[in-house]
Amino acid sequence: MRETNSKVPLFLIEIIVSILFLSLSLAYCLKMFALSRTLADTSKYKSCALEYCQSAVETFKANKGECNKTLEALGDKNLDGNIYLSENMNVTSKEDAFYTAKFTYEEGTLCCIEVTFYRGEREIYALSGSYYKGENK
Amino acid sequence: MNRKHIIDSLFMVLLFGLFVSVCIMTVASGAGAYKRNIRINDDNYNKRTSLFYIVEKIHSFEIDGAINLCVVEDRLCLRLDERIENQVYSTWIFSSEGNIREVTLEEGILPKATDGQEIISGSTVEFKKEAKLIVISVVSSGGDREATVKVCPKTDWRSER
Repeated sequence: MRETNSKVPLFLIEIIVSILFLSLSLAYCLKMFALSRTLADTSKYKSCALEYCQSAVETFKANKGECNKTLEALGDKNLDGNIYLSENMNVTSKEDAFYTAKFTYEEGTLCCIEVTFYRGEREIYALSGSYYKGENK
Repeated sequence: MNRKHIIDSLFMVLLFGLFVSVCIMTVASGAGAYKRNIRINDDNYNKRTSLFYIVEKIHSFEIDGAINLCVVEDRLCLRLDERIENQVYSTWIFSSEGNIREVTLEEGILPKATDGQEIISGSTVEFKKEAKLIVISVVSSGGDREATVKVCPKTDWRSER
């Protein structure tokens, strides 16, 4: 009788330990998947950001440094420098993806554009380009 | 007592079996996630490399060359002309059989689908004109989105049909 009683806690300990290990394994699995998802998303968004930023700078050059024309060509209806991309990005995210285009001028001839790409609150990528007026035909 | 001993042993074996199957599942899922990540990274790398290769190629022809978009065998190709010792050579960039190819030929010779070298395999490129901009789009065979970049060449460029 004494022998049987001493085996019950051991049995319970085995079950508890196994449940603990299984839970730990599952928790690490979930963490790994979340990390993997973040890595894949970041890679994808960085590529998107690079492409959109490059296109913004080239559009700026095509419009000979004229900010309003550039913003209009990029799809900014309010001309406030915020170009939202969620509809065009083919990504499954509830967060807004957008970039801001900021224009600066130096000595009247050099125009600069600084493009910063955001996903929600997070800054993903920034790119800047410049254009000397009179450089293009 | 002997029966209880058998049940204990059986439980241990079952528990070991459960651990082994969970381990295999974890490793398999990890490998799947790693494979997916590598595929996405490869896809992005291929698209970026091919896009920016073409963009840099266009910019390198801005000073002395001529940039044209021409239709050859029902597909829009990029033609970059340059003069070397009184002879004009055309560098063609186009998609063929799921690959992006580049070939340099004498002026007037049109490229065939199998001509030239593969720049990137498993990707196709499309060119469009949009006012002063050339829109370059690359789609890779395993990719889930189209990568697009606009280029504004400093020199004049033409779209021929």
